[in-house]
Amino acid sequence: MAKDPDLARELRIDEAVEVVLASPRILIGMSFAFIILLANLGPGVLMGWAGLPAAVIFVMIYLAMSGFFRLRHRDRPTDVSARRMRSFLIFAVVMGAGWGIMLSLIIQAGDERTRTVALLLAFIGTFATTSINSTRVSMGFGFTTLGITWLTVLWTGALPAFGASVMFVLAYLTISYFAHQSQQTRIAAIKQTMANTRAMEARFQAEEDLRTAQIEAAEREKSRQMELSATQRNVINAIPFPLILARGDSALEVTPAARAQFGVSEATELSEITLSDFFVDPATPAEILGRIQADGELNDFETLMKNTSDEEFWVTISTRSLVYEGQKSWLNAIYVIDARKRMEQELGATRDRAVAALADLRKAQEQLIHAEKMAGLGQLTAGIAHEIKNPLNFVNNFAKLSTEMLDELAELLSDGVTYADDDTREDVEDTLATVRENLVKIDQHGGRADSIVKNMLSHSREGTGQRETVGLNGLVKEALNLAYHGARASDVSFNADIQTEWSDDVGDVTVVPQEIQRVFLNVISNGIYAAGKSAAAGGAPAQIAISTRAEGGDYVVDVTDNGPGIPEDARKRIFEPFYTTKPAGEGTGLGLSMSFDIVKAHGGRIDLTSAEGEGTTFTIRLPKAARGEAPE
Amino acid sequence: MTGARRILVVDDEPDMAELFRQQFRREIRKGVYEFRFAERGQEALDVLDGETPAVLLSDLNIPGMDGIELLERVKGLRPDLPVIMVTAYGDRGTTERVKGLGAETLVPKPVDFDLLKSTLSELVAAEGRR
Repeated sequence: MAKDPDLARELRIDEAVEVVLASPRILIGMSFAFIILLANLGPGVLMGWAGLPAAVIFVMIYLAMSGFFRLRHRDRPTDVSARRMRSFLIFAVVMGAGWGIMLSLIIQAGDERTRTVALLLAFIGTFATTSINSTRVSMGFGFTTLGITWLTVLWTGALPAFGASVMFVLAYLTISYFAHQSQQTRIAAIKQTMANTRAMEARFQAEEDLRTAQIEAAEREKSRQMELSATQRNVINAIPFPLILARGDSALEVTPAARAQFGVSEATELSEITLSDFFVDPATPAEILGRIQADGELNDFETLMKNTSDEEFWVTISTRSLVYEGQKSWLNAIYVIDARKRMEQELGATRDRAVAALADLRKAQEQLIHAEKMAGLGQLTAGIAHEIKNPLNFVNNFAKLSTEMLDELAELLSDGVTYADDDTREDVEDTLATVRENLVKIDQHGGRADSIVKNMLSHSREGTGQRETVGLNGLVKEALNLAYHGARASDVSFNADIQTEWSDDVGDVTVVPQEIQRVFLNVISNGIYAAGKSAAAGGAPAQIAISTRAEGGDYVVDVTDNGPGIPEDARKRIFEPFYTTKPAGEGTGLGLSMSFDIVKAHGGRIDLTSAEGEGTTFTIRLPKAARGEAPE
Repeated sequence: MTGARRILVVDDEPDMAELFRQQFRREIRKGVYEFRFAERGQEALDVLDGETPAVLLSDLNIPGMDGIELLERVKGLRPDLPVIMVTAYGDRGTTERVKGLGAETLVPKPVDFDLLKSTLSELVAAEGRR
């Protein structure tokens, strides 16, 4: 009947539960049956053999009730064994046999009325069991009771055999039908329940499946997102120029390239990084902020940054805004342009040097032209001096001769000439005296012109180039006079405190006097120029100190001024030809260079010591006995 | 002492002749010296061809043949003729050079005539002793 094992199991469970829960009904039914029996037949009916099966019935009811109380609150069992189901059948058969045997004994021993009550109770009991939804119980009890009762009726002949048999057969059929119907109803109900349960379970399963699928999908999405974000991070981290995501001065993300550029180790927490530390100029972050606020972004902002070791480098910064963790943040792309910048600077420096070199060259050219002009002028001067010298000699010579001859004339006049009168004689003598005086004046002024010409010649390069042994002190004094008066000539307001200290130990040197005088003239003029410039600029009054001394085999001349001093770099170059710090036109840059060469050629040396703001001392040494070669 | 000693003066300045004549006017009057003047070196050599002066006085800086060349040639012709060189550019090197070439001395310009007179008389006296 039940091919479906689930259905068979459900049927067993359902039947077992029904049987257990039917125990009180069995108790009540049996109690009512015994009350009917005792009420109709009196207690004597159970005295004798009939009492024994009655006792068996009560024992069985006791067992059923104890089972009921034990199991009634238990959960519905998931399965019931076939053995347990058989025990229900045995229980029903024993109960039926007890009930049947008891009624059979009552029938055999009783009268007509007793038999009627017993038969009635047999049928009532049998039909009552059909209320229990258990085929085993109702059939086991009913068939057993009816069978024993039927046999008793046939054996005792209490009822006509045919009529009794029809009654019992129909009773059997009815019970069987009821039991079958009840079973079918149960099967239908269980099937319905099972179907409902299955439907629900299917729904639950479907819901469960859906939920699982959703969770799985969510997890897959999550892992995909994680993978994606890891990829993005890898991509960002692989960008070779520094990127810094920041909010205000705080760093939110710093790429490995940025850490490397700024010297921030991987171990350094982001919270320890302060962006403004990386700017060389502390005003730069505010400037960047201002631009970002004005434009909403920053493009190729060029600035000087530094790393944690304070190494500086040039960068351009471009900045864009983005939302990071829900807040507006700024992504800074930093391009290091140090190499380019340095190249630019080097190019600039090279260009500046080239421009400076060009300027120097131009200046040198101008100075060369100037020097050439000066040299030409010097030659011209020398030439003019020579040309003047000869006629001047005649002027002087003839003037002198004329004086002598006038004297002779005066003698002749006084001895052998007779005058017309005294007035005439006075006139002649007066005129002669005047002419003589004039000739003396001509001689004087001629001498003056001659000395000018001599000076011109001695100061042009037309020197004899001949070494002479001269006193050094005198040479320096002469140069000092020339330099001082030269300075006064070019600036009448010029004045200077000149201190001199001429050592008696200083004697003669064997030199080309014109050349050495040029050297001293040059050095002293420079000192006067420097001191005068310093004084004109509001410094101390110009002061020049010149001293001579003997030192070893040399005579030494110190020329000290209180001018602005000579800067370190200029000191190195000061003896180079054409190097000058004077404004164009004021110096040729040749003076010290020539002086250096001249002194060197005389076996001497020029040195200088200078303190900026305090003054300069030139020290010129010349050997007591000339050691150098005569200059060309 | 037989007559005036002849002095040959070589200078490209024509007025030099007048100057000498005036400076030596007393000696000329007394017949101590007489002067011949030449403005060029060649002219001087021409004079020397026919005459024998006691002393030759020459400027170093004369056009054409200069004083040095003249000195060399004169010394080639008349080694015993005393020569006095005159120059405006005299220095020690030049003095030594002309002396090396046989000149008696180098007289700087402007000429100190008193010194020249004493030099000349010394030379003439020395010639007289020879």
